[in-house]
Amino acid sequence: MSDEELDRIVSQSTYRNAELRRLDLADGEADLLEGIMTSANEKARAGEQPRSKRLRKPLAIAGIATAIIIGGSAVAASTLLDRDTNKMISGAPCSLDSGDARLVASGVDGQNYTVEYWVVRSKGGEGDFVALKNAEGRWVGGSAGCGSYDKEFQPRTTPFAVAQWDADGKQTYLHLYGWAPGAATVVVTLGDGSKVNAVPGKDGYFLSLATLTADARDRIGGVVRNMDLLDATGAVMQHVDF
Amino acid sequence: MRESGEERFRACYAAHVRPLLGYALRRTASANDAADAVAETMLVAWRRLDEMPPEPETRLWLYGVARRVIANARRSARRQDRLAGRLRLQFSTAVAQIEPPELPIAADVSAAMHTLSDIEREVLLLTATEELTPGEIAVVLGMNPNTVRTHLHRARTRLRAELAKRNGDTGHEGAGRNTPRHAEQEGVMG
Repeated sequence: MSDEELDRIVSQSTYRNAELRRLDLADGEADLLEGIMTSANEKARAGEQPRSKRLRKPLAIAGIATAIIIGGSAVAASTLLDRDTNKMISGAPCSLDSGDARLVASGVDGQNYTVEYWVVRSKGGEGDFVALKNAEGRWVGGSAGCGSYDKEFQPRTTPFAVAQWDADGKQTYLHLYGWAPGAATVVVTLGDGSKVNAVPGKDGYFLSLATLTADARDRIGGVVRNMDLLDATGAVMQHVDF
Repeated sequence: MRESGEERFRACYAAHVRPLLGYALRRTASANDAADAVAETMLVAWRRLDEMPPEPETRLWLYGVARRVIANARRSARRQDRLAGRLRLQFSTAVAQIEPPELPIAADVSAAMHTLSDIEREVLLLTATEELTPGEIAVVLGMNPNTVRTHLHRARTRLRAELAKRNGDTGHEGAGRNTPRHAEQEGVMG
């Protein structure tokens, strides 16, 4: 089979560009475009002028008010799976058993929410879950990412990082978590080029909580660009692009 | 200044939203996930308009943004703002108009593609479906064109072997699964 034939089979086995070009996206398009641009303009009028590319880089996470990283067995031994987190894990669409869940890190963010990072690594699948609880210990939200193991997938072997946030209009509360096995420090580069350092626990999981001084969601963009795993001397062990 | 920016964004949207949707559909588990990815990519494009390169590199830059959006989304569920929600609704409605291909071997190809490494699969898709050259793919992925060629060669070699193996394996149970790891996700942020 030639390269061209193989490429053609790949192309024909998925959504085709010709069909997508015919899609009718006109309905509401003008309103949507206006909405996108108005949203950003309102922010500019409120005094938050878009930063130049030159300024974005060093802005980084200089405004960190809180950065708590706790990993390892000390945390895992102290907290039981509560009803809501149990429901989130067992309800995830990957058929995971919440009995396999373990707490690998937790901390308190700038809005006084306790952030718990739970993982499931089992024969049937894997998942990463974050649960948020308020000062009274009441479950206020969470997020889940999971995948199934089957003949096509292998257990996770690649380090990863996830950036999420919560915001109250004045500040952005960044929740950065992931897995960096064997690293003494992990440096995560966010979508705006800013970097966040985190220290993994002994099993490699990390959770870094930061309060950014402004609404930083736009700049972060929900994107983790890459991460560097550093050894104890600061040398780069591994660079992972996302 | 801002007006010219708006014109530029409108032109960018008109020219690239459909190719972007195709890019996302081919890399996510559902039309909703693809719509989310496109919505977020377009929002990032507007917010970073000053960083977006002029044509003909705009499309490559957008693919790069979309790639990172999708990679991150596979492991997380983020709260979407209302604008993203509206974009998602529109795209989901539009995508419902089309059906994935019914090529008899599509399921096998899809399954075989998922035996490739992430980077091999991405390079092959960018070549076969986005029809990019190794030089253009190098821009999207931020790597050397020669490295792209190496990944492409390995991807084709491994895919050929995997397809040959599957053709001789009539009892394969996994064919047809097209679920990227962590593509199944649930956002329950309060």
